Amino acid sequence: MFLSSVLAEGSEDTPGGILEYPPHDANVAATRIIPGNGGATDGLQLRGTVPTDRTLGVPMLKCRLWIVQILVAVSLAACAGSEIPLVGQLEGVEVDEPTQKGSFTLTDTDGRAFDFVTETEGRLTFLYFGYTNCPDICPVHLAQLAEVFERLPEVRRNSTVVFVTVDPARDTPQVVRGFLNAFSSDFIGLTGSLEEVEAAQVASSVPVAIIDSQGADYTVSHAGQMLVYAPDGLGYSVYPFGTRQSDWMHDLPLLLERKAP
Amino acid sequence: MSLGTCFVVVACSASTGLQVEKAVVAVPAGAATAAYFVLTNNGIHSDRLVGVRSEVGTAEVHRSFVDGDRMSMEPTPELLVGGGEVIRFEPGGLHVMLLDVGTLEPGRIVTITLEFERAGELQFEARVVPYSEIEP
Repeated sequence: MFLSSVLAEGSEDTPGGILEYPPHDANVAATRIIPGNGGATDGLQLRGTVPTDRTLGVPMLKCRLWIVQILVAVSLAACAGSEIPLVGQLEGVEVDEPTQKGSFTLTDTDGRAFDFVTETEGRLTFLYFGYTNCPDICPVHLAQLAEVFERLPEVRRNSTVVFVTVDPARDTPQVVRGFLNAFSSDFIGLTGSLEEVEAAQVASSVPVAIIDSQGADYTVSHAGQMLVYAPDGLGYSVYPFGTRQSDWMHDLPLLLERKAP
Repeated sequence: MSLGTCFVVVACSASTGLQVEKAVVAVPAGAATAAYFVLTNNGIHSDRLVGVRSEVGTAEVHRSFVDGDRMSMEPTPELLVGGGEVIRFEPGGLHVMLLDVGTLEPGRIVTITLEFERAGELQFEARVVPYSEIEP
């Protein structure tokens, strides 16, 4: 937006609308782009002497236009390079804007308070809301992930998998632990009161599970997607039920590279 | 659905042409697990699946489905199987839910019986496999 407005202003002010490129002075150079999470010009650094109308004897407007040109070039390079390398590259369902982790604290299967944001900081993080009586969706997701971890040990070492029950009435910490151990003893299971696990779902921007409590073997409608956050703390894509192992194998190494600056 | 080492035994009802193949049961992680298979009606007449039994636990035909932005599941007490129809019981869709089966070791064979309105009973054997061998 900023660049657009500057360009528009420059074009109007410039007789004939001429922009010179490259600029006369080689001292104007963009030397480094630091990957960041902010706008397209994050990390822009200019080295050397920026010419002025006084030092070079050219109109001030022309100098401003050179800078604008460089900013545009650097911004385009940033877009095509490390700034947004994941767009269009992932097999998962990419989100329009990277998402932040939801803030919540629940209790893990050892009875310890687990602050989701703090405990998963810097990790490739998987978040799933399910229930252990689920015969068809939840276990397939978790088994798939465990299988992929077997094949990608580097990913496994740097990952934290968090399963939050949406059915705390039946899923005691012991029940959750037994369920997760069928896939990996490293998977973290979280429980809480119904209100607490519902708040965690809201904080994570997933639809709150609906428990159909008619009868003893009641069923649960819940979010079917696995939420994944890169080590930089951002979610770039989600993984609905039906994600294939090959999709995971493709995406996880790419996500792991998204380190915090 | 990739079933890895599929169990190749085919169960048929000669009189009606109903057939079950590629039957597996997932190693249970919690109290519930699922059986998956391919049900084919080779006959020209439709039939109706009205019940299911298992040698372990209690069995019900269930269907998982996308309900808006959630995944949901519902009992399917009756299922029409048209003449010539092939119905896949697979993750994310139809399955036989098995409750309270206890421990099932991989490789074990579980006998399951489907009850049809016209054809009567069709019994088949399903091999127990890890969930990791069952890809949606």
